[in-house]
Amino acid sequence: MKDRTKRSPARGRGPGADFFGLIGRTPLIALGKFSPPGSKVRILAKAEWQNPGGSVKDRAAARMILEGERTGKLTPDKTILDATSGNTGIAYACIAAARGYRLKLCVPANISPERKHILAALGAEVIYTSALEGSDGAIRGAAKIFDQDPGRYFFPNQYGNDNNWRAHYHATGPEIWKDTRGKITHFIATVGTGGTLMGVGRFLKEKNRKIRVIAVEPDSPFHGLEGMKHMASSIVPKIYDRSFPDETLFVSTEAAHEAVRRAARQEGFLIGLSSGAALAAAETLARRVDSEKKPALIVTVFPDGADKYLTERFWKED
Amino acid sequence: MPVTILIPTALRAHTRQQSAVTVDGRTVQEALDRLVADYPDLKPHLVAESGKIRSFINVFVNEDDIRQKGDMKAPVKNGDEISIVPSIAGGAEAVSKDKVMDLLSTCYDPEIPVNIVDLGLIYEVNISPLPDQPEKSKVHVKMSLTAPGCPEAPKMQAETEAKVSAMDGVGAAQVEIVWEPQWTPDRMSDAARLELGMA
Repeated sequence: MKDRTKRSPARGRGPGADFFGLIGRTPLIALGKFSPPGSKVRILAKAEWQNPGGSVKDRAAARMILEGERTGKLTPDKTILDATSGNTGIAYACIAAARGYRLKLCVPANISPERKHILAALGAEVIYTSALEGSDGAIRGAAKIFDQDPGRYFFPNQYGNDNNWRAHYHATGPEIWKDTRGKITHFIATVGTGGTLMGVGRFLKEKNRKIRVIAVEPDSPFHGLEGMKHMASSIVPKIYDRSFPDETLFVSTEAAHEAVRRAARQEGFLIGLSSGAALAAAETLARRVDSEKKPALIVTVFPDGADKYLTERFWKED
Repeated sequence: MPVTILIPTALRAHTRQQSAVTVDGRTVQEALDRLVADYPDLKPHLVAESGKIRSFINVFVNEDDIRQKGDMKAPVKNGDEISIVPSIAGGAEAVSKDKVMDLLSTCYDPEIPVNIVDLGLIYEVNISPLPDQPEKSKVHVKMSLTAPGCPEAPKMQAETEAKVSAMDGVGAAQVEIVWEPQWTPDRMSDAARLELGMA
């Protein structure tokens, strides 16, 4: 048996950094071509694909795992189990590999082939749940496996774990506050578990209650925006309070595709689908604020990059 | 012809909570047209302004992506199942029936100089996902031989199975020899008849 007496994860990203040390402190990039020309409205985005596992989910997964260890709920004999539409699974798989845990994931069968390859490469055990049922099918699948043998698993349950949003309250929010020198006026983010929106939103509202917090959801229960949830027709995550954001904007899959293509071809950034949804919504918001002749600093989060979506057909459309 | 359309959970609010709807149609297009005619609230979710199926949606007939089978013109027959799945499925590497048939048409009965597809020996090809190998499919072939009790049967079964198993994207292959219904010469293609001087 491997010695899993844990060394504390190394802090910082300098030489000798481990997986945990590379999480966070992502750059805040400018999307000049998406801001109304000649306006005083700017759009900035956290480039979360720069996390070591390639997505924003590294933040929440790391905190949920480390808190599990700290509180004694996660011990070396346990298998980590959760439901995910992909990115959290990849984050867990990296962390489980680095910390020596077994991992079991429930994933909808229709996630992108690239994600399936990544999970397989990291050695995760994956249980595919019905493509027809989407992420809710995966959530039910994981809960069922856990209930059959609760002693065997550590079940972080990202949809109901407060450490999910706290990761953003303690890190992503403060990073945005610092990098904008407190000048942020709007925070807009897509919701899946709601962790990013709740954590960053709560932190920013405490700093300045005038900051507007806006959620972005798919415009239909039937969508191709991996990781996002149409809350009205889904199991609403326990950590997500739909009444918390000042407003919710709804984005079509096609509008997100269009934003992804424009980000690639006009800005040189290869962003993922939920990033495209965030950007499309941020652009709508920017136009509206500009029509009211107000200056604004809109900040959003790009949960991942395009690398997991390169086989999708939408790249060839226009 | 009645075909079953499997409705994703996210859209069942528009089909009075039915998980499957049976409609008539000879092609995928006809079946889906019928579906949105019967349940008009589904239309904006499935069909783009151009009238085409929205680009992120994949449509499968019995696990085969229709993009490999003539797209919306893909024929459907009595008892087929159509599923509608958002394209986060990707599905780029699916094995198609056509590819399996192409491969089978390189297999021969040792005594007859016509391949087993043109001879009409292939009764059924079913492709289904492998739960433990998401990138791969399971292929099940039902074939017959020209004469019951043919001594070559086990050898042909093994050879065909090995060829199908070796295809890209195939994780498991099973070739089953069936004698019902019995093969008759009218199952042969015109090419086979010509080759055998029976035309």
